[in-house]
Amino acid sequence: MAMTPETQSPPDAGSADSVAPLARRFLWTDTASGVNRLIIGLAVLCLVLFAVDLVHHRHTKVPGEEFTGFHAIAGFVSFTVIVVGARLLRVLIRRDESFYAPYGVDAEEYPEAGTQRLNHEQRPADSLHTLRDELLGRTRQPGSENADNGRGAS
Amino acid sequence: MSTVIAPPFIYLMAALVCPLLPSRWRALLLMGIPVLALLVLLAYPAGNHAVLSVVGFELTFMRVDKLALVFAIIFSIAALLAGLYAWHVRDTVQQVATLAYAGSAIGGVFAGDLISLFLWWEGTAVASVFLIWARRTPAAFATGMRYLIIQVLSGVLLLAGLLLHFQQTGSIAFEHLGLVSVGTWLMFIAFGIKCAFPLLHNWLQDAYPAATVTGTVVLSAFTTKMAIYALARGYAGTEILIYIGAIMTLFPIFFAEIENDLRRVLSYSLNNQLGFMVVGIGIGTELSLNGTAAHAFCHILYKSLLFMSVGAVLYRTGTSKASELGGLYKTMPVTMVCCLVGAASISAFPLFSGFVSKSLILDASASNGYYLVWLALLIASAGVLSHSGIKIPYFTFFAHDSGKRPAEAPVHMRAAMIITAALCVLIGVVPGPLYSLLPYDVDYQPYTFDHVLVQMQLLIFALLAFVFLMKTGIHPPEVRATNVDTDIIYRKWIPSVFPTLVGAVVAVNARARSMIMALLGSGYGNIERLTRPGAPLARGWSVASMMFIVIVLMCLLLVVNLL
Repeated sequence: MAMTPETQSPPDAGSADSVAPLARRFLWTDTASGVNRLIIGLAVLCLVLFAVDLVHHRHTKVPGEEFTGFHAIAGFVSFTVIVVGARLLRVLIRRDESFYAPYGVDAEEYPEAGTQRLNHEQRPADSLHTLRDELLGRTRQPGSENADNGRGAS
Repeated sequence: MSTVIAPPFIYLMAALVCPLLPSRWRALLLMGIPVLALLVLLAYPAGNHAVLSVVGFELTFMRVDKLALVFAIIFSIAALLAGLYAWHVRDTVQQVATLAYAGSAIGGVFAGDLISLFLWWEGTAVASVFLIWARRTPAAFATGMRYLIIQVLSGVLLLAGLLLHFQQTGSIAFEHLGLVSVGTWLMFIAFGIKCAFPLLHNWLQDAYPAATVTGTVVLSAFTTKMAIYALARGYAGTEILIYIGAIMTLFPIFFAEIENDLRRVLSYSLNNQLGFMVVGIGIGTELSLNGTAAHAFCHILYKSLLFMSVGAVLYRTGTSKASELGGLYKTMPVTMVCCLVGAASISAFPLFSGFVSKSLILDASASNGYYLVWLALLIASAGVLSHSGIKIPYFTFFAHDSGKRPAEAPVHMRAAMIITAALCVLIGVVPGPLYSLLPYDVDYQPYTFDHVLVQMQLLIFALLAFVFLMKTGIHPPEVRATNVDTDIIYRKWIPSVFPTLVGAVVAVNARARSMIMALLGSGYGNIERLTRPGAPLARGWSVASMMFIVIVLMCLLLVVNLL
């Protein structure tokens, strides 16, 4: 879902095999109407929670906590203050990525060796069958550095 | 039960044997040893065991009681899950380091005296640095060096403190110490370094993102929680810890909000959660110490889960930077769901594990009259939702589409994440078993209408604030940048002072030399003036003037003699 004012439609919105099966249930998060319904649901939930505070007397331990909607307002206000404060902090502490280079990991790429950068189309057919293969040490893709190419002990 | 099969030594022996085994066996070892060690430690009766007499000191390697057991159990579970997550790793260095590190941490929580604690303390430092160096890049080497220096500094302070403490009290027992002497203050600071106290915290955010994909998952579980255990054992009820903890919960939130590297966001989040635990230790009542232990237990699980999901993204895309990610839910849905479970747990949504543990600490602070601290923890709870609950899953898996379509995480990583997520939900729904592990009896009921209501109010209205801030554009965007923290002091300012310092020393040295040389030179000149050929001291005198001088001297001698 994209809630920023400047939205762009994703390159291949929901074409059948570029999306994993489980993810199809979440495709509504990319549509404006889906997001709007989510936000409206959130707003309704907020109203309900606030309304409960009006009719229900809470058992409180801290003086001042019995103020109506204390936790609701505290949540909203503290979140806003934190985000705004963080934005101000960024002005002070932001530096270029290469600020600590070459002694900091921000400026360098993660080495290829520790990853297996596959795309969705290249995904291995993961199933119980291949799990058994994995446990027996049989290779899945030739040349992959995470397989031992059937040699077993290495 | 003899020393050799104490659980920490099982790990160490496995670490020694590990390099000799073929790769499949190593991966099995990484999962089998935690299971074996867990069974062994559950079989230990309570009390002191594995006592070794070394140069006159009685070292107790297995002091088993409920506080130590709860930490050791979660360490074993974390080691098992990390071993499953790291099934694909063939790098012997990482596997040996993981075993040694986990073993040292478990040894640390079972240490009954300060000297064996020190041994395991240093063991965790030396073992864990290899998880950073295993990345094998120049920056990782430098970061690992910084990490090692700070961790060993912590060990050295611990050693100094324990020696002073022994000199003063004659005892090396690891019991409640309190801030009574210089020795205990030194040990307090040593524990604080590993616990990421404010101003001593930066090694955490520096080093953890610099480790390997699986290394960070392992790193996050042990060092800081061992330090929490040490604080709980030695300094429970120390009032200053309440305020240190409250500060620790607040300041990392701001840094986490604007950080781009997601693993660094999680490191700041770790710092924030440690603050909750430290507050619990500071309050010192049975409820709050229970809260600390429960929170450490739940935290290890959901923090590992979050690091695992971000690690899976890193594994598949090669980056963990929020500015480079987005829209990944389409092809990594399982990872996304597990990340959401972790995010809900850390935010303390009802039915997740954070809810049943964090509330113990908040309740303890309210009951004991620390109202401002309670308010700080409440604000921090909303803050945790902002950076861990929302930012991590949203900017990784949703938000703007980065165009990346990485494959789903491999089977073993998915299995590890799903098991961890299931544990988070299970603990949240049925907290009974967790509560039975806690050091003191628990008569706390987390699921009351009031408690669920106020927590939902806090979280849902904070979510509303997020939507509001995103729609109005006030929310800071994710940009490629580094943010500096107090580590700029020892990473930039002090090193930048070196050239000017060295230049000043060289200049002073040069000036001093030139002054002394000038002095010597003028001295030589004077001597030369008197003794060169033709000068007064080198001229030959005539015999007549010599005789005249001699007669004058003899007359003077006569006069002096007659006086």
